[in-house]
Amino acid sequence: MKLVDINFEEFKEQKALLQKLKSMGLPTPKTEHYRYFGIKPILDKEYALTMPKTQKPEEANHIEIEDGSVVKAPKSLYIEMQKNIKIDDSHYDQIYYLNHLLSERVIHIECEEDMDLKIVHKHTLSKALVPYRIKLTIAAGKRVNFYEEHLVLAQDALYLYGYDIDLQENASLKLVQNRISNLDEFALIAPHSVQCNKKSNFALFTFDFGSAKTLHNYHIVLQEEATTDANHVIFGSSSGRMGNTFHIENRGKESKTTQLSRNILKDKARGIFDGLLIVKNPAKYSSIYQDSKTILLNDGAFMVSKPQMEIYTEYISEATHGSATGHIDEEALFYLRQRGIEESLAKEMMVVSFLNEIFEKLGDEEIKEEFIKLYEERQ
Amino acid sequence: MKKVMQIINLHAKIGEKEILKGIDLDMFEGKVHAIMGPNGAGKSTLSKTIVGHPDVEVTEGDIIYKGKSIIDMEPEERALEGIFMSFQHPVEIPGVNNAYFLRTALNAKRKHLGLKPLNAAEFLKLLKSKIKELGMKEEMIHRSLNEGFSGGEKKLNEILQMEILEPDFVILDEIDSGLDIDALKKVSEAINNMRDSKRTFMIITHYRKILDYIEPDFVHVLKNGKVLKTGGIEIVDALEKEGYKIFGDA
Amino acid sequence: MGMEKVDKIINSDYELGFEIDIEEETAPPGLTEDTIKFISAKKNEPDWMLELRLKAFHAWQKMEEPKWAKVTYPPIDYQAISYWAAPKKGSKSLDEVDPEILKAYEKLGIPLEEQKALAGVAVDAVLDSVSVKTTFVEELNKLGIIFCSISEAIRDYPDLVKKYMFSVVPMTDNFFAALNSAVFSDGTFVYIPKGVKCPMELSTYFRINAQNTGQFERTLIIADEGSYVSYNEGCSAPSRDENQLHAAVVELIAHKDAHINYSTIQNWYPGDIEGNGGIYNFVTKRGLCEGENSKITWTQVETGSVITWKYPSCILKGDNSVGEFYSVAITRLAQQADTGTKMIHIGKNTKSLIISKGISAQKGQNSYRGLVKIHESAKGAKNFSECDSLLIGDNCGAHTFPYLESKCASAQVEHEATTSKISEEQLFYLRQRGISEEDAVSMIVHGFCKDVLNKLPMEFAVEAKALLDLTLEGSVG
Ligand SMILES: Nc1ncnc2c1ncn2[C@@H]1O[C@H](COP(=O)(O)OP(=O)(O)OP(=O)(O)O)[C@@H](O)[C@H]1O
Ligand SMILES: [Mg+2]
Repeated sequence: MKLVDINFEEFKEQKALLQKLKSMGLPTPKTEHYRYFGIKPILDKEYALTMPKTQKPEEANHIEIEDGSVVKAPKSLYIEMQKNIKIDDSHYDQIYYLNHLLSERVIHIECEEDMDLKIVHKHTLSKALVPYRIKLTIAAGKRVNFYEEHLVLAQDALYLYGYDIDLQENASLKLVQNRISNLDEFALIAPHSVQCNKKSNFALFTFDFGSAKTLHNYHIVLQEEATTDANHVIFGSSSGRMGNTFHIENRGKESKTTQLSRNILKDKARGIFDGLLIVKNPAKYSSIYQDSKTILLNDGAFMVSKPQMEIYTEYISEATHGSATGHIDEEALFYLRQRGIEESLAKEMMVVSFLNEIFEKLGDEEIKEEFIKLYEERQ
Repeated sequence: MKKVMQIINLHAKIGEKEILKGIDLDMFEGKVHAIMGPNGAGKSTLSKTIVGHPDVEVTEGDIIYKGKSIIDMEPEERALEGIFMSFQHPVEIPGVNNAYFLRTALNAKRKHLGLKPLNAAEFLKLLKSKIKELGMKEEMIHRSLNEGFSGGEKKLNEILQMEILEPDFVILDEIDSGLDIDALKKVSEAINNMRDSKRTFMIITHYRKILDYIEPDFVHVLKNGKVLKTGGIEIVDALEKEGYKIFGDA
Repeated sequence: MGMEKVDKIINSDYELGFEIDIEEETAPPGLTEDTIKFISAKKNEPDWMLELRLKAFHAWQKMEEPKWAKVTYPPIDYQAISYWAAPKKGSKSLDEVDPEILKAYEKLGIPLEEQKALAGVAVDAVLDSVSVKTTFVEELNKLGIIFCSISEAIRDYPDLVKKYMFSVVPMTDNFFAALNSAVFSDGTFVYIPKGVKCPMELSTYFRINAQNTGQFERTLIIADEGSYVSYNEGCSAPSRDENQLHAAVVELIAHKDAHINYSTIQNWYPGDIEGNGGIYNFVTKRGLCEGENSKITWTQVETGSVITWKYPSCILKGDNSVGEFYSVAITRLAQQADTGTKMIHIGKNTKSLIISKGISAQKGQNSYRGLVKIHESAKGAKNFSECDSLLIGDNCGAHTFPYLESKCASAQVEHEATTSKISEEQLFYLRQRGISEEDAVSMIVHGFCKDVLNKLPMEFAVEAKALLDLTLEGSVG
């Protein structure tokens, strides 16, 4: 089937969702957050809709989700397949509702304790359309590190997935999304919704390396004194098309958003950074900061940067954004070469240093090594 | 000696924090009052209170200036009544031309005194003569107010404003910090030249050097939001030897 | 604290809101082929122009009003608008211009009698749908400069018009441009021949006077190789309770080594604090840097209109060509502005600079929207944008929506933006020196806008500064 000809009558029972989707319609090439992604060919393509199977997961020390089904999970963890979860009714992305509509049951992971968790997504079905959703609840005052990886084996497929995250008061989540895919014809659209309750803290690190087509659309809502620190690295090559779009709403007072985006693009790859930071009138004394930087390694690589702000109160502590797209600093390159470092290595050093701010914040050498390996492979 | 300003049991807070905890201080016409005290004692807060900074809230007590309470007056009213403060950290105001700003301020004062405003040419003549005296670079008056000025240049610019506006009550908050040896001399000379039987100075400083040039009539020690000691220059000698601990804790 | 104390009377008056008391001929409301034929006939246009208008009209009928801008307003009924209004008396020679009009323009500060005119400024005055007077024409003609109304140009210089009109803004570029192409009434035409530096400021003053009419002017400026021209437009309208539509198109063409400076002081009636009345200002302005080393500079001071939708743009086609955009936009009352620019880099080493200053007060909503697009061919291109917003009061909004696209590795695109309120510390510093709070705010705001105001030609900078003060008066608090 094609997404454009989905028969919505089949979903009559899910009234609220259906209504919402109908009022918004499917995205078009003019839809702001899909503008540069090229949604049309994806909507028009024939896929075999494949619903996840429910099965009893094997015991393991991480979670593994294969084509939408939980196949492995730690025993201690509370995971359940849930129907009719509360959804985010102000998400800006149509696909968020479609994704929910197609995923009758949602994988619900509840974190009642401090913990470190690893989740591996395996995408194995070629020519398939696979929808699933994950709901993640972090109990009040708990700290969770959540590390996500994607293993892509599917060719020519479309996967829809995303998180509904509920950070309760004072909770803290560090979500690392490592989304490497070297299959050109793999598409992933992932609408996420994150509710940050009072004084909670959401740290996000996303890494998109490779040549797939991926778009992550985040709707993040911050209540009083909540903070979000979002960091993104894209290293795109070949005809990859990778993007992150955001609506981050500062709704409560003294909330705080910082966002860093670093992009390196090669060949014909396209990177999209589209971040809208909103400060609502009650969010007095909030601060927002956004900084997007890009290096294009060759002509024809394409970066679209849209750092955006909407501000509805005068009482704002900081509201700044900046964006710069350019090339490797020739002066610095020359400096390194003058000290005897060969050009390709000097370039690599420059590129790695360009990303360092984020790598250092994350404090994970593994991802850095992965990046370097990939960078070298792609030379 | 005529009291020009009386500070009576002044309590003030910034935000939730009480910083001035009952200041009593008399200052006299034509005299130079030096104020010393450890970091965080409340010296700048006291100055800000006198000039009506919106961050400071007076919770108790009063400030009588020229026989009137001023604590309910707007900052510009106090300024027009002759109170001038040089800021410890002068703010930068992009796009606002230094000379234009000063002329506006001077003409506001002249209007208040019932005098004709100075036109641009007259003003420029006055300004240039002062600039020369202070050894400032002339281009500075055409730049945006304090923008990109070095620490010392900002301080000189404060003194320039003092000279142009000819206030009656001059508060100098660490005017000597950040000045090079020559500039300190120039500033001290400028202050000495401005001294007369009517004009009062309140000079906040951490260092003896400027007081050697200026020779204050009174030295007050402020600590923990209170005036602990009032006397003459001999206080500075004691401080130099022993530090603020000799004045105990308030 | 400081700002809250400045609780001044909210509405400063719109001083230009008077009505000119003359008899006008207006077409009945409605838009059909007949309306277009009527307009064309009124202007004695050649057939080719009518055909083009009809073509645009048919395209427009199939188009939809754009919805992406961050402005909200009730639907516009295009059939309820009158598309033609002209003074009954009135001709191009000064002796025949209705004295009421001369008086009115005098009151607007635009003397049309040449002996009184500002030295060095030639004026074209457009009242509703027609140009009522163009000054200094003969002097300019001696240099080969053409400065006339677009209606005259269609009659007298058909080759130039055919060649250049619609060449930068195609007639179907967007909904409002298509509408304008169908019904445009008058506007200004300028041609500067090769190597000529226009010795005086050229200026058009647009005035909407008649009730219930839209104004659809069209301006076309061509600067031939090595020439220079500085052009300014000003606008105003009476205060009325109803909304009036203004949909203009401006096309600029700069050939090799030519430089066009285009400044606007937009002071259409802004409506009231409840959002009643005011001009809907939907304008398409675009310049083409056709030749090498050409340069187009847009400077705008936007203080009026209840809705503004406007993106003066540059297509940087010639190698080394330069596009600049300097903007001050103030929204107060219930005004909404969605304005910015587009810089399209095609040629090598092209450069663009964007300086935008937005000020919001009362219920104003101010959005900067700008596109910088670097094509793969634009080797060594450079863009820098700086967009700052100032909020005065807690019921207004400031928004920044840049779109930065680059496909060229040797190009550099840089964007910086900040939003803040007037700094309490700055305000206090000035007040400590005896400057009143209102003057202090005005001083800070002028300082904030300085980089833009400095770009205006002298005569207009003075006007803009005065306008800024007038606009700010009473909206602080
Ligand atoms: N805006 C403010 N918010 C919170 N606390 C403040 C503020 N301003 C001053 N304080 C606090 O008030 C106390 C007194 O500060 P003040 O600046 O008056 O000290 P000072 O005597 O001038 O010190 P210094 O010699 O270092 O200049 C300090 O503890 C300072 O941290
Ligand atoms: Mg201090």
